[in-house]
Amino acid sequence: MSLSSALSITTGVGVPRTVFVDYPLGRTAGKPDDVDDQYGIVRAAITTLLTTTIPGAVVRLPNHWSDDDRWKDRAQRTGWSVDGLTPVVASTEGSDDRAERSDQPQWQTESDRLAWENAHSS
Amino acid sequence: MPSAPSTPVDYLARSKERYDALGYPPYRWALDDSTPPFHALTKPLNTCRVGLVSSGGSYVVGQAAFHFRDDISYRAIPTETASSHVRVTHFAYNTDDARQDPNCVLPLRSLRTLVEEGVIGSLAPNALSFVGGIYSSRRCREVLAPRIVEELVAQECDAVLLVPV
Repeated sequence: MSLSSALSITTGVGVPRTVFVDYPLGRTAGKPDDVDDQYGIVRAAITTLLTTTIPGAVVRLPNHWSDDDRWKDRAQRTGWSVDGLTPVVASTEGSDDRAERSDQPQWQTESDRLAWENAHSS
Repeated sequence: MPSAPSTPVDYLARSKERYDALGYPPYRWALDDSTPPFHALTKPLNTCRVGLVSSGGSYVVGQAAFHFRDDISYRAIPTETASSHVRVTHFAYNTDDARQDPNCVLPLRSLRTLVEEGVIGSLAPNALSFVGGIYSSRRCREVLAPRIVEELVAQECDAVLLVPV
C-alpha cells in the first residue's frame, strides 16, 4: 500500500492500494509535529489492507493542507519552490532552482558528517 | 472553514511544463498500464509484520547522507530510532518540514503507535529509505528495487507501506 501526494504519478505506475493525501510534496505522511494528522493518515493507509478489494484502488482523504489551495497553482512552477509554498528568486528567469547535482554526501548538518566519520574511523 | 476538495496537482503535466521552460528534454515517467498486483491479507492484521519504504531521503546520524547525482543507495533505519536521530536530505523537494519532523516522510512514530494499540502486529526491524529523482528508471527497476525487495523479504514483512515523495 502506498501513500501519495502526486496522484497522477502514483496511478501511472500501478500500485495495489493507494491513499491520496492532498498535501504539498514532502509532507505526504502528515503535517510536521501534528501527531494526530500523521496518525490518521498512516492508519488510513494500513486500513486499506482490510477494506480494499480492487487492485489499484485509491482512497482519497479529506485532509486539507491549509484553508486555501493557492499552493496547488504554484507547485512546481517557475518562481515557486516545488511544493508551491515558498517564492524562489531565480538568478535568471526559468532557471532550475533545485539543488546542484553532486556525488558528495549532502549532510543535513556538519555534525552529521563528523558522526559518520567517527563511525567509520576504526 | 476549509475549502471544498479541489483537483489534485497533476505533477506529470507540471513537470513537462517546467522541463519545457528549462529547455530540458521531457522526463520519461515510468508508466505501467497493466493491472496492479494485488494480494489479500491471509492472516489477521494484528498479527502482521509491516515494513516501511520511503523515497524521502532519510538517514540516521552516523550513516552517510545521500548525494544528489542519481544515488541508488538506500539506508536501513531501525524502526525504533528516535525522531531526533533521523535526518533528511534530498535535492528535489523542500525538506524544511521533514527536517523539523522526520515523520512527515518516514512515519515511524505513527506506525509504532499502531503496534502499541494492537492494530498491527509488529514492525520490520528496519525501515528503508532512498532518494527519488533517479534519472534511470532502468537502474531503479533492475538495481535498487530488487535490493529493497530482498530486504523486505528477509525481514519477513507481511505488508509494506510505501511513502513516495
